[in-house]
Amino acid sequence: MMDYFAECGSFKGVYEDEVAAEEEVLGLGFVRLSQGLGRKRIVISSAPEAFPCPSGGGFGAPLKRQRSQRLSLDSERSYLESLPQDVLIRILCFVEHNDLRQLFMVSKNIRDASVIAEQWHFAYATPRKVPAFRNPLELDDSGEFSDIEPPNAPLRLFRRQVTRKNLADVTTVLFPGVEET
Amino acid sequence: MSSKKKVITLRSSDGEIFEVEEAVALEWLTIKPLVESGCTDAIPLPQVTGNILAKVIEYCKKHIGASESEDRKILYELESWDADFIKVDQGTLFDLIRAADYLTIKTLFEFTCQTVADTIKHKTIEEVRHIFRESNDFTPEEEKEIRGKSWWLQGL
Repeated sequence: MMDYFAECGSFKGVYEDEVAAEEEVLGLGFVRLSQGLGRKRIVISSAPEAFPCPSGGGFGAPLKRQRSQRLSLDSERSYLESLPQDVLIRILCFVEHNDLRQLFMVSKNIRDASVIAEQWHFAYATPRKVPAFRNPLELDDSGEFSDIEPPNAPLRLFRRQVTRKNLADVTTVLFPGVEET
Repeated sequence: MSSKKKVITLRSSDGEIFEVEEAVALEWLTIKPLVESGCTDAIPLPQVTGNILAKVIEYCKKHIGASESEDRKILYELESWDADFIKVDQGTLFDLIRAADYLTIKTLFEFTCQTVADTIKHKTIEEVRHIFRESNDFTPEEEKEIRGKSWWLQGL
Protein backbone atom coordinates (compact mmCIF):
# COMPACT_ATOMS: atom_id res chain seq x y z
CA MET A 1 0.00 0.00 0.00
CA MET A 2 2.87 2.31 0.63
CA ASP A 3 3.64 2.10 -3.05
CA TYR A 4 1.01 4.72 -3.52
CA PHE A 5 3.43 7.30 -2.40
CA ALA A 6 5.76 6.42 -5.15
CA GLU A 7 3.06 6.37 -7.75
CA CYS A 8 1.19 9.51 -7.01
CA GLY A 9 2.58 12.03 -9.39
CA SER A 10 2.45 15.01 -7.17
CA PHE A 11 4.42 13.43 -4.39
CA LYS A 12 8.01 14.18 -4.99
CA GLY A 13 11.10 12.39 -3.90
CA VAL A 14 12.79 13.37 -0.66
CA TYR A 15 12.13 15.56 2.31
CA GLU A 16 15.44 16.03 4.01
CA ASP A 17 16.02 19.38 5.53
CA GLU A 18 18.97 20.25 3.38
CA VAL A 19 16.88 20.15 0.23
CA ALA A 20 14.05 22.05 1.81
CA ALA A 21 15.54 25.38 0.87
CA GLU A 22 15.63 24.58 -2.81
CA GLU A 23 12.17 23.20 -2.67
CA GLU A 24 10.75 26.34 -1.30
CA VAL A 25 12.24 28.11 -4.26
CA LEU A 26 10.36 25.64 -6.45
CA GLY A 27 7.12 26.43 -4.72
CA LEU A 28 6.95 23.26 -2.67
CA GLY A 29 5.73 23.42 0.84
CA PHE A 30 6.76 20.70 3.17
CA VAL A 31 5.24 18.96 6.08
CA ARG A 32 7.30 18.27 9.14
CA LEU A 33 7.67 14.61 9.86
CA SER A 34 9.31 13.32 12.96
CA GLN A 35 9.37 9.72 11.88
CA GLY A 36 10.50 7.91 8.81
CA LEU A 37 8.14 6.45 6.31
CA GLY A 38 10.24 3.45 5.50
CA ARG A 39 12.01 3.79 2.23
CA LYS A 40 9.35 5.97 0.64
CA ARG A 41 9.63 9.57 1.59
CA ILE A 42 7.37 12.31 0.58
CA VAL A 43 7.18 16.00 0.14
CA ILE A 44 3.85 17.38 -0.73
CA SER A 45 3.59 20.11 -3.26
CA SER A 46 1.74 23.08 -1.88
CA ALA A 47 1.33 24.51 -5.36
CA PRO A 48 -0.10 21.75 -7.49
CA GLU A 49 -0.22 23.91 -10.57
CA ALA A 50 3.52 24.38 -10.36
CA PHE A 51 3.93 20.79 -11.47
CA PRO A 52 1.26 20.01 -13.99
CA CYS A 53 1.15 16.27 -13.73
CA PRO A 54 -1.04 14.00 -15.78
CA SER A 55 -3.99 12.82 -13.76
CA GLY A 56 -2.89 9.80 -11.85
CA GLY A 57 0.82 10.26 -12.42
CA GLY A 58 2.59 7.83 -14.66
CA PHE A 59 5.68 8.47 -12.67
CA GLY A 60 7.92 5.58 -11.89
CA ALA A 61 5.12 3.14 -12.49
CA PRO A 62 5.86 1.42 -15.74
CA LEU A 63 2.76 -0.73 -16.04
CA LYS A 64 0.17 0.67 -13.79
CA ARG A 65 -0.45 4.29 -14.53
CA GLN A 66 0.24 4.66 -18.19
CA ARG A 67 -3.38 4.57 -19.12
CA SER A 68 -4.38 7.73 -17.37
CA GLN A 69 -1.44 9.58 -18.78
CA ARG A 70 -2.50 8.82 -22.30
CA LEU A 71 -6.06 9.75 -21.57
CA SER A 72 -5.43 13.09 -20.03
CA LEU A 73 -4.96 14.21 -23.60
CA ASP A 74 -8.63 14.11 -24.35
CA SER A 75 -11.17 14.35 -21.61
CA GLU A 76 -14.00 13.01 -23.73
CA ARG A 77 -12.83 9.46 -23.31
CA SER A 78 -14.92 6.89 -21.56
CA TYR A 79 -15.12 6.79 -17.81
CA LEU A 80 -13.56 3.39 -17.46
CA GLU A 81 -10.59 4.29 -19.56
CA SER A 82 -9.89 7.36 -17.53
CA LEU A 83 -9.08 5.14 -14.59
CA PRO A 84 -5.61 3.82 -14.00
CA GLN A 85 -5.39 0.23 -15.09
CA ASP A 86 -4.81 -1.17 -11.62
CA VAL A 87 -7.99 0.47 -10.39
CA LEU A 88 -9.86 -0.88 -13.37
CA ILE A 89 -8.59 -4.37 -12.64
CA ARG A 90 -9.75 -4.14 -9.09
CA ILE A 91 -13.20 -3.01 -10.18
CA LEU A 92 -13.38 -5.96 -12.50
CA CYS A 93 -12.53 -8.26 -9.63
CA PHE A 94 -15.93 -7.43 -8.18
CA VAL A 95 -17.95 -8.81 -11.05
CA GLU A 96 -18.91 -12.44 -11.30
CA HIS A 97 -17.27 -15.13 -13.35
CA ASN A 98 -19.94 -15.12 -16.03
CA ASP A 99 -19.66 -11.40 -16.57
CA LEU A 100 -15.93 -11.61 -17.04
CA ARG A 101 -16.44 -13.66 -20.19
CA GLN A 102 -18.31 -10.83 -21.82
CA LEU A 103 -15.90 -8.19 -20.68
CA PHE A 104 -13.27 -9.80 -22.87
CA MET A 105 -15.21 -8.58 -25.85
CA VAL A 106 -15.94 -5.01 -24.85
CA SER A 107 -12.74 -3.25 -25.83
CA LYS A 108 -9.03 -3.79 -25.84
CA ASN A 109 -8.50 -1.81 -22.69
CA ILE A 110 -11.09 -3.76 -20.75
CA ARG A 111 -9.91 -6.99 -22.27
CA ASP A 112 -6.37 -6.40 -21.05
CA ALA A 113 -7.67 -5.57 -17.60
CA SER A 114 -9.99 -8.57 -17.58
CA VAL A 115 -7.17 -10.92 -18.45
CA ILE A 116 -5.18 -9.67 -15.48
CA ALA A 117 -8.24 -9.67 -13.25
CA GLU A 118 -8.77 -13.28 -14.18
CA GLN A 119 -5.24 -14.18 -13.21
CA TRP A 120 -5.39 -12.20 -10.00
CA HIS A 121 -8.77 -13.00 -8.70
CA PHE A 122 -10.99 -15.24 -10.73
CA ALA A 123 -8.56 -18.09 -11.03
CA TYR A 124 -8.74 -18.39 -7.25
CA ALA A 125 -12.37 -17.59 -6.58
CA THR A 126 -15.21 -20.03 -6.63
CA PRO A 127 -18.00 -19.03 -8.99
CA ARG A 128 -21.15 -18.13 -7.24
CA LYS A 129 -23.88 -20.66 -7.56
CA VAL A 130 -26.37 -19.61 -10.19
CA PRO A 131 -29.55 -21.64 -10.59
CA ALA A 132 -29.76 -23.16 -14.02
CA PHE A 133 -32.41 -21.99 -16.48
CA ARG A 134 -33.33 -18.93 -14.54
CA ASN A 135 -33.20 -15.48 -15.96
CA PRO A 136 -30.19 -13.98 -14.21
CA LEU A 137 -31.81 -10.54 -14.19
CA GLU A 138 -34.32 -11.77 -11.68
CA LEU A 139 -31.58 -12.78 -9.34
CA ASP A 140 -31.28 -9.47 -7.59
CA ASP A 141 -33.29 -10.58 -4.63
CA SER A 142 -31.70 -13.96 -4.39
CA GLY A 143 -32.21 -16.06 -1.36
CA GLU A 144 -35.70 -16.92 -2.39
CA PHE A 145 -34.20 -19.78 -4.30
CA SER A 146 -32.54 -21.33 -1.36
CA ASP A 147 -35.68 -22.97 -0.05
CA ILE A 148 -37.09 -24.05 -3.39
CA GLU A 149 -37.17 -27.79 -3.79
CA PRO A 150 -35.45 -29.12 -6.88
CA PRO A 151 -38.07 -30.08 -9.46
CA ASN A 152 -38.83 -33.73 -10.06
CA ALA A 153 -36.85 -34.80 -7.08
CA PRO A 154 -37.41 -38.47 -6.51
CA LEU A 155 -39.64 -39.11 -3.58
CA ARG A 156 -37.98 -41.07 -0.90
CA LEU A 157 -40.07 -44.08 -0.05
CA PHE A 158 -39.67 -46.49 2.76
CA ARG A 159 -38.99 -50.01 1.68
CA ARG A 160 -42.15 -51.95 1.84
CA GLN A 161 -42.18 -54.64 4.36
CA VAL A 162 -41.87 -58.08 2.96
CA THR A 163 -44.95 -60.02 3.74
CA ARG A 164 -45.81 -63.52 2.88
CA LYS A 165 -48.43 -62.24 0.51
CA ASN A 166 -46.28 -60.09 -1.71
CA LEU A 167 -43.47 -62.56 -1.44
CA ALA A 168 -45.74 -64.92 -3.28
CA ASP A 169 -45.81 -62.45 -6.21
CA VAL A 170 -42.13 -62.72 -6.84
CA THR A 171 -41.47 -66.32 -6.08
CA THR A 172 -41.71 -69.03 -8.52
CA VAL A 173 -41.19 -72.70 -8.38
CA LEU A 174 -37.77 -73.44 -9.72
CA PHE A 175 -37.85 -77.19 -9.76
CA PRO A 176 -41.36 -78.33 -10.45
CA GLY A 177 -42.02 -81.85 -9.47
CA VAL A 178 -39.26 -82.11 -6.84
CA GLU A 179 -41.55 -81.70 -3.89
CA GLU A 180 -44.00 -84.23 -5.11
CA THR A 181 -41.58 -87.06 -5.24
CA MET B 1 -1.04 9.62 19.88
CA SER B 2 -2.99 11.82 22.18
CA SER B 3 -6.38 10.69 23.31
CA LYS B 4 -8.10 14.03 22.99
CA LYS B 5 -9.96 14.76 19.80
CA LYS B 6 -7.61 16.28 17.33
CA VAL B 7 -8.63 17.99 14.16
CA ILE B 8 -6.74 17.49 10.94
CA THR B 9 -6.83 20.13 8.28
CA LEU B 10 -6.95 19.11 4.64
CA ARG B 11 -6.71 21.21 1.54
CA SER B 12 -8.26 20.06 -1.70
CA SER B 13 -6.83 20.71 -5.15
CA ASP B 14 -9.00 23.78 -5.60
CA GLY B 15 -7.87 25.23 -2.33
CA GLU B 16 -10.87 24.41 -0.15
CA ILE B 17 -10.06 23.74 3.47
CA PHE B 18 -11.64 20.82 5.30
CA GLU B 19 -11.35 19.83 8.90
CA VAL B 20 -11.77 16.23 9.95
CA GLU B 21 -11.31 14.42 13.20
CA GLU B 22 -8.11 12.57 13.62
CA ALA B 23 -9.95 9.25 13.88
CA VAL B 24 -11.38 9.79 10.41
CA ALA B 25 -8.06 10.77 8.91
CA LEU B 26 -6.40 7.70 10.36
CA GLU B 27 -8.60 5.56 8.13
CA TRP B 28 -6.94 7.12 5.14
CA LEU B 29 -3.78 5.15 4.83
CA THR B 30 -2.12 7.59 2.47
CA ILE B 31 -2.05 10.38 5.00
CA LYS B 32 -2.00 8.17 8.10
CA PRO B 33 1.76 8.50 8.64
CA LEU B 34 1.48 12.27 8.47
CA VAL B 35 -1.36 12.30 10.95
CA GLU B 36 0.42 9.95 13.30
CA SER B 37 3.50 12.05 13.28
CA GLY B 38 1.48 14.93 14.62
CA CYS B 39 1.40 17.09 11.56
CA THR B 40 -0.39 20.35 12.24
CA ASP B 41 -0.17 22.00 8.83
CA ALA B 42 -2.95 21.71 6.32
CA ILE B 43 -2.33 18.55 4.34
CA PRO B 44 -2.62 19.28 0.64
CA LEU B 45 -4.45 16.69 -1.44
CA PRO B 46 -3.70 17.82 -4.98
CA GLN B 47 -5.55 14.96 -6.65
CA VAL B 48 -8.91 15.48 -5.00
CA THR B 49 -11.29 18.31 -5.69
CA GLY B 50 -13.31 20.00 -3.00
CA ASN B 51 -16.71 18.53 -3.80
CA ILE B 52 -15.31 15.00 -4.01
CA LEU B 53 -13.37 15.43 -0.80
CA ALA B 54 -16.54 16.63 0.89
CA LYS B 55 -18.29 13.45 -0.14
CA VAL B 56 -15.41 11.29 0.95
CA ILE B 57 -15.39 12.94 4.36
CA GLU B 58 -19.15 12.55 4.60
CA TYR B 59 -18.85 8.84 3.92
CA CYS B 60 -15.99 8.27 6.32
CA LYS B 61 -17.67 10.20 9.11
CA LYS B 62 -20.76 8.10 8.73
CA HIS B 63 -18.85 4.88 8.64
CA ILE B 64 -16.39 5.47 11.39
CA GLY B 65 -17.27 3.13 14.16
CA ALA B 66 -20.57 2.18 12.57
CA SER B 67 -19.11 -0.47 10.30
CA GLU B 68 -17.93 -2.59 13.18
CA SER B 69 -21.23 -2.33 14.94
CA GLU B 70 -23.02 -5.57 15.66
CA ASP B 71 -26.38 -3.91 15.93
CA ARG B 72 -28.50 -5.00 13.03
CA LYS B 73 -30.57 -1.86 13.01
CA ILE B 74 -27.54 0.37 12.71
CA LEU B 75 -26.13 -1.77 9.93
CA TYR B 76 -29.42 -1.68 8.10
CA GLU B 77 -29.62 2.08 8.39
CA LEU B 78 -26.06 2.36 7.18
CA GLU B 79 -26.90 0.27 4.18
CA SER B 80 -29.78 2.48 3.14
CA TRP B 81 -27.67 5.55 3.81
CA ASP B 82 -25.01 4.09 1.51
CA ALA B 83 -27.59 3.48 -1.17
CA ASP B 84 -28.56 7.14 -1.07
CA PHE B 85 -24.98 8.25 -0.89
CA ILE B 86 -24.01 6.45 -4.06
CA LYS B 87 -26.83 7.89 -6.13
CA VAL B 88 -24.49 10.14 -8.04
CA ASP B 89 -23.70 10.53 -11.69
CA GLN B 90 -21.09 8.30 -13.19
CA GLY B 91 -18.43 10.95 -13.38
CA THR B 92 -18.68 11.58 -9.65
CA LEU B 93 -18.66 7.86 -8.97
CA PHE B 94 -15.41 7.42 -10.84
CA ASP B 95 -13.96 10.48 -9.15
CA LEU B 96 -14.85 8.88 -5.83
CA ILE B 97 -13.07 5.70 -6.84
CA ARG B 98 -10.01 7.63 -7.84
CA ALA B 99 -10.09 9.59 -4.60
CA ALA B 100 -10.55 6.46 -2.51
CA ASP B 101 -7.68 4.84 -4.35
CA TYR B 102 -5.47 7.87 -3.93
CA LEU B 103 -6.25 8.25 -0.25
CA THR B 104 -6.28 4.46 0.24
CA ILE B 105 -9.64 4.26 1.97
CA LYS B 106 -10.42 0.59 1.81
CA THR B 107 -14.10 0.66 2.73
CA LEU B 108 -15.01 3.43 0.31
CA PHE B 109 -12.91 1.92 -2.44
CA GLU B 110 -14.53 -1.46 -2.15
CA PHE B 111 -17.98 0.02 -1.90
CA THR B 112 -17.59 2.19 -4.99
CA CYS B 113 -15.96 -0.58 -6.99
CA GLN B 114 -18.74 -2.93 -6.07
CA THR B 115 -21.25 -0.34 -7.22
CA VAL B 116 -19.59 -0.10 -10.61
CA ALA B 117 -19.28 -3.86 -10.88
CA ASP B 118 -22.97 -4.22 -10.10
CA THR B 119 -23.91 -1.96 -12.98
CA ILE B 120 -22.09 -4.17 -15.47
CA LYS B 121 -23.29 -7.43 -13.99
CA HIS B 122 -25.43 -9.56 -16.24
CA LYS B 123 -25.15 -7.16 -19.13
CA THR B 124 -24.41 -7.93 -22.74
CA ILE B 125 -21.30 -6.66 -24.45
CA GLU B 126 -23.23 -3.89 -26.16
CA GLU B 127 -24.82 -2.76 -22.93
CA VAL B 128 -21.47 -2.59 -21.15
CA ARG B 129 -20.06 -0.57 -24.04
CA HIS B 130 -22.97 1.78 -23.79
CA ILE B 131 -22.71 2.21 -20.03
CA PHE B 132 -19.07 3.13 -20.10
CA ARG B 133 -19.13 4.90 -23.44
CA GLU B 134 -16.60 2.40 -24.56
CA SER B 135 -16.17 1.82 -28.26
CA ASN B 136 -15.43 -1.39 -30.01
CA ASP B 137 -11.79 -0.99 -30.94
CA PHE B 138 -11.26 -4.55 -32.11
CA THR B 139 -10.68 -5.12 -35.77
CA PRO B 140 -13.06 -7.66 -37.31
CA GLU B 141 -10.22 -10.18 -37.51
CA GLU B 142 -9.37 -9.78 -33.84
CA GLU B 143 -12.99 -10.07 -32.88
CA LYS B 144 -13.34 -13.23 -34.90
CA GLU B 145 -10.25 -14.64 -33.29
CA ILE B 146 -11.51 -13.92 -29.77
CA ARG B 147 -14.87 -15.39 -30.53
CA GLY B 148 -13.21 -18.43 -32.03
CA LYS B 149 -11.00 -18.87 -29.00
CA SER B 150 -13.74 -18.51 -26.47
CA TRP B 151 -16.20 -21.27 -26.91
CA TRP B 152 -18.40 -19.78 -24.22
CA LEU B 153 -18.98 -16.70 -26.35
CA GLN B 154 -20.42 -18.59 -29.28
CA GLY B 155 -23.96 -17.86 -28.31
CA LEU B 156 -23.48 -14.13 -27.95
